[in-house]
Amino acid sequence: MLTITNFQKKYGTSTEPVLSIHNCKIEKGIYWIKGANGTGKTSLLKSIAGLIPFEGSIAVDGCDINHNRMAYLQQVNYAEAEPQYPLFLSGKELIDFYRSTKKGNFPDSLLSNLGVEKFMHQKTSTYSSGMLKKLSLVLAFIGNPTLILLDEPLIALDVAAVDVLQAEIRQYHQADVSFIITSHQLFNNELISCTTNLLLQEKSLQQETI
Amino acid sequence: MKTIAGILLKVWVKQFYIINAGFLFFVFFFFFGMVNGGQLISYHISLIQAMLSSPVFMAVVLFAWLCYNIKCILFFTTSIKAQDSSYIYTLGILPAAKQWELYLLAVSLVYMPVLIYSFFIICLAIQQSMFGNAALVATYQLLMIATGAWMLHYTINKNTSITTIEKITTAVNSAFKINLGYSGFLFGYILDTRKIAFAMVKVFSILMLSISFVINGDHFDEDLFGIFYLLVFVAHATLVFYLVEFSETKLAFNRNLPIAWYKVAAMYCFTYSIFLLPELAFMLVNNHGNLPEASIVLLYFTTVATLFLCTGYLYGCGLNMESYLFLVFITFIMIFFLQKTGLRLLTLSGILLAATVVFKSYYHSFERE
Repeated sequence: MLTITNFQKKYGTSTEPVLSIHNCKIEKGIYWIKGANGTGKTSLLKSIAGLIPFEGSIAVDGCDINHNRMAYLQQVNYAEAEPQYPLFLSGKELIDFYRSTKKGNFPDSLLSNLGVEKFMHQKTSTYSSGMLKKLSLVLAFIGNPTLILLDEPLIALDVAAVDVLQAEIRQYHQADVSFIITSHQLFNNELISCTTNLLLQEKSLQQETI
Repeated sequence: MKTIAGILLKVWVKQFYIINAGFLFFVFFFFFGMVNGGQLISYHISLIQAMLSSPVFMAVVLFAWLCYNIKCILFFTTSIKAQDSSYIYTLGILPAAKQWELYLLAVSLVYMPVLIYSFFIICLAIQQSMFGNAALVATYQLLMIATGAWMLHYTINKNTSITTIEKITTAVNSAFKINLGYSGFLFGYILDTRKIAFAMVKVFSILMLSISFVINGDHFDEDLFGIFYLLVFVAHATLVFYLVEFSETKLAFNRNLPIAWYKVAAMYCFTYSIFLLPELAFMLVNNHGNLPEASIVLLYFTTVATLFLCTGYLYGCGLNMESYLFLVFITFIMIFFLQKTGLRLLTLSGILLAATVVFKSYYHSFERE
């Protein structure tokens, strides 16, 4: 599903990469990236999501971001750990914008179960951090993704919302959608049982052996 | 009563004018800034006469006023529903007459720009014995104010039915909202967050153009105009910096969306072309044969292309202000000499080509320093 080849991520003028993955192939599934603070989890997710440049190649189902960026981005969705949106826009306007670009399906159940439809007409300047997080999660499920990247998805969510999200992840997983998640908070046992751990240490990504 | 009125003036009227300063400035500029000072009164008299004599024109103006009134009402209802404005509901305990007095005052004050213009329309209509038209305009404006005050009264006193108001406002909102997508976000940012900078750039630009076209109109000097016009470009280069910075912070999520680089480029160009419309209109209206009109239009497109080139610079230098200013300065010098060649179409093509190459080369590899 996801192939990473000769990947290197450097920041600024530094010649030393913060992350270096020579060759990594990940099959369909739910993956939980583990690693201490500063090991490069967010950098890796942002690179896969196309948000920041990198050296090397990343491909999803054979579609390389460097060669066919538009098709690649139709397949990969991303929710940031601390989402930021223009304060003068409403959630609805952002949802409409995502829908117009990602096309495909819309997560109606997630929208209503997370309660986003109650506040989506308000400007994001009035949102709490939890409301922003819920909006970012809804946006990450728009379209027909084959891979959804969730960076610290449980931060700022209430207990009910955590359950809703985990149920949605399981449902999408059954529909052949893969997830790569970073989280310092634990998921429930049902979801943990179907996740594979990936360990990010010494600037590289390894499948964790238990 | 005076205390309550004072509070409402601060939380409603003052806020309305602060939030809508950009919009109101644009409308004011459109109607008063683009016409030569000496012709301003005669221009507006002929505008009003056209309105009084043509039912179609009158209907268009009445519809525009209705839109403005809806905008005012939406502002009131949204601000009443805001979480930090729950104290406003205490107005509901005042006697109905006092409430109406306050609401009529608040609505009249936010509707004031239209009322002032209407006053002159009514005076002109009476002077020309068009009493029917005068009565129509007066009645219409009274109706507008009464409707606004009634909406305020209803929202505050029937707060249990707030969802009905929400439904109305949402329906009106979606009916009147133009979804411009990415470009809409860029306009929204400038008019919402950078409206003061935008207003200053526009005032500066018009001042520069006024010196060339109005003050020195009789002794128009193309070289001097070239320098003044380049200053207009430099002023707009600051807006380009704000836009790219906004795009790469609050709209950074856009890079995870399947939007091709040329579409992003087109959206930037579209935004700049709208921003520069007042300058284009000003030059065309006040030209009086100093420059061929085709040259003015070419100059307008050249400026759009140059601002697009500046966008590429910003992606190339990682939004580094120092490097950006240096590149803008180099561009200033380069265009100054290109203008002197007189090859306007070639200049436009060259800048557009360079801008496209720079933008394409750096857009995807951009990462903020």
